[in-house]
Amino acid sequence: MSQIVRPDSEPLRQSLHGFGLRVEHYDEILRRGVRAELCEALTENFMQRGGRPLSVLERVRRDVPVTLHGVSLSIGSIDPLSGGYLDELADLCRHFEPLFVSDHLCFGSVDGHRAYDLWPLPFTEEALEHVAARVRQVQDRLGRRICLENVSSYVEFRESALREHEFLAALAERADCLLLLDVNNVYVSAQNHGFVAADFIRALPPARVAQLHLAGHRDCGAYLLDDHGSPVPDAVWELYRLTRQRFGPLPTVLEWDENLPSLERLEQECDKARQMEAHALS
Amino acid sequence: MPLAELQRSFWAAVRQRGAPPAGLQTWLTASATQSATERLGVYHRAYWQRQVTALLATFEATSRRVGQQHFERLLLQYLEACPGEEPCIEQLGARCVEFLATRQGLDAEALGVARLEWAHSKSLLAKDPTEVARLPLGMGAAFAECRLTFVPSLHVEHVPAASLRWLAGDAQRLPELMEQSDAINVAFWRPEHAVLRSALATDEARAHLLARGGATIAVICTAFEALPEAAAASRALQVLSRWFARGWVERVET
Repeated sequence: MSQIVRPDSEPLRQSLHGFGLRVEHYDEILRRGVRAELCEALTENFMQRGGRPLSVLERVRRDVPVTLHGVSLSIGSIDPLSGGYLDELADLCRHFEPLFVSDHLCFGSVDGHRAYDLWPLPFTEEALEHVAARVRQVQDRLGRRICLENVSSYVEFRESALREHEFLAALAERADCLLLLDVNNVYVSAQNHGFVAADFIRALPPARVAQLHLAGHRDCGAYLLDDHGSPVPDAVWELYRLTRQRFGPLPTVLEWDENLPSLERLEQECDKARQMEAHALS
Repeated sequence: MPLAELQRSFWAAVRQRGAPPAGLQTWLTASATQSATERLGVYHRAYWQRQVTALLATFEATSRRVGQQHFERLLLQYLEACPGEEPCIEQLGARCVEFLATRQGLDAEALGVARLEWAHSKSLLAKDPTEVARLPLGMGAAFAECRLTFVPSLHVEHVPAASLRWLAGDAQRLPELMEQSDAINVAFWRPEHAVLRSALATDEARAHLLARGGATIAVICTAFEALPEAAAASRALQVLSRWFARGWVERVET
């Protein structure tokens, strides 16, 4: 296997660029491998199943490090954490030795029923303590730190007493976890809620930000929608430049799920991110 | 509002069909461009659209058979009645066939198509076997007392023959035995990456059912006893050999 395997006791200050694995690219990946420095695997695509997905991930892992990025941990939910899900995740970690294990700061289940979405949390002390306790539980179970990603959101709760970046920073300290900073999500949420995206970036503790996400979004007129369905727009590249200047070299994953381009196009977008980073850090 | 109450309120508000719930503005804020209701609407649309899209991908042929507009209405009813419980959205259709069977206006052929499509999905999503057994040689009479465990991806469905004809799309490609009966047994399994499908003769399907129930080889072979003795033995050997050749058997338990 590719040799970048290290305990995630602190962020890996290394410039690695990659993208998310998608089913449509499996054949080509099996044929020629990937031209990237890391790949992100959607955790649930590799759980409780066999067949081609695992073969593809094994093929990728021979060449580059992978990250496991989940959407169903539901870390903010009032439901109990799923022991079965954590067991499966632990198995995947043992098998693939991912660079990072991540999921989203959100809730996605209520009373045992799944939303299949990333619903936002109120930024309250109650939620902060609730999530921190669950993060510690997950990290104890997995024997490693996890990264939590800021989601793009379309509602705000009257209950919220903290701003999102304050909540993230406090959570990272209280749970001793890491942060996956999605630059596009910051931009989308900033536009939807009327805050300054750059302020959000500047407020996060560098010691806790372990990796970055980049993606595109859709302008729906009254709001922006994080649909991962387009190239990274200029405004997000600009925010990415600021992010790079603040946090230095970090692993970065490009997410592009809808209107999926060719594998070659994804690799080109990664090249652009690499060039942007070099320019920002020069 | 306590966190638990807020999350349950959010769930109820997103899932409410028809008119949006009242009073959202008491716990959600508006933005400069959207009301609280419009903001929640983003999640409401995403919730239903994402899951209907996932189910349409699983039941594509059923949708064509039933008519997409009508089928989407059925899927919405299904999601209202049976919200998903598994973390993987591909498992969302687990109770769909059972639900569709309770709906009026779906004939046996359409239900059969759905059953076949779900069996295909189950096979695709199944775990890899820990091992694949070979036909044991040299066991002698002891083989008759063995039991078989099948690989996780093997699923056999009993459906109207017309359902498989609809799914296959070209009657000329179907095996001869399909033309002879109104109902048929169809096996799905995944030896490597792709799901394979094969129609089973009635006696083989009966043998499979016995094997699933934990019967010994000796009892499994009674599925062929309608044939004359020599032919029955030959048929049993043919079927069992094919199970092993296809990689259906994970373990032979003595």
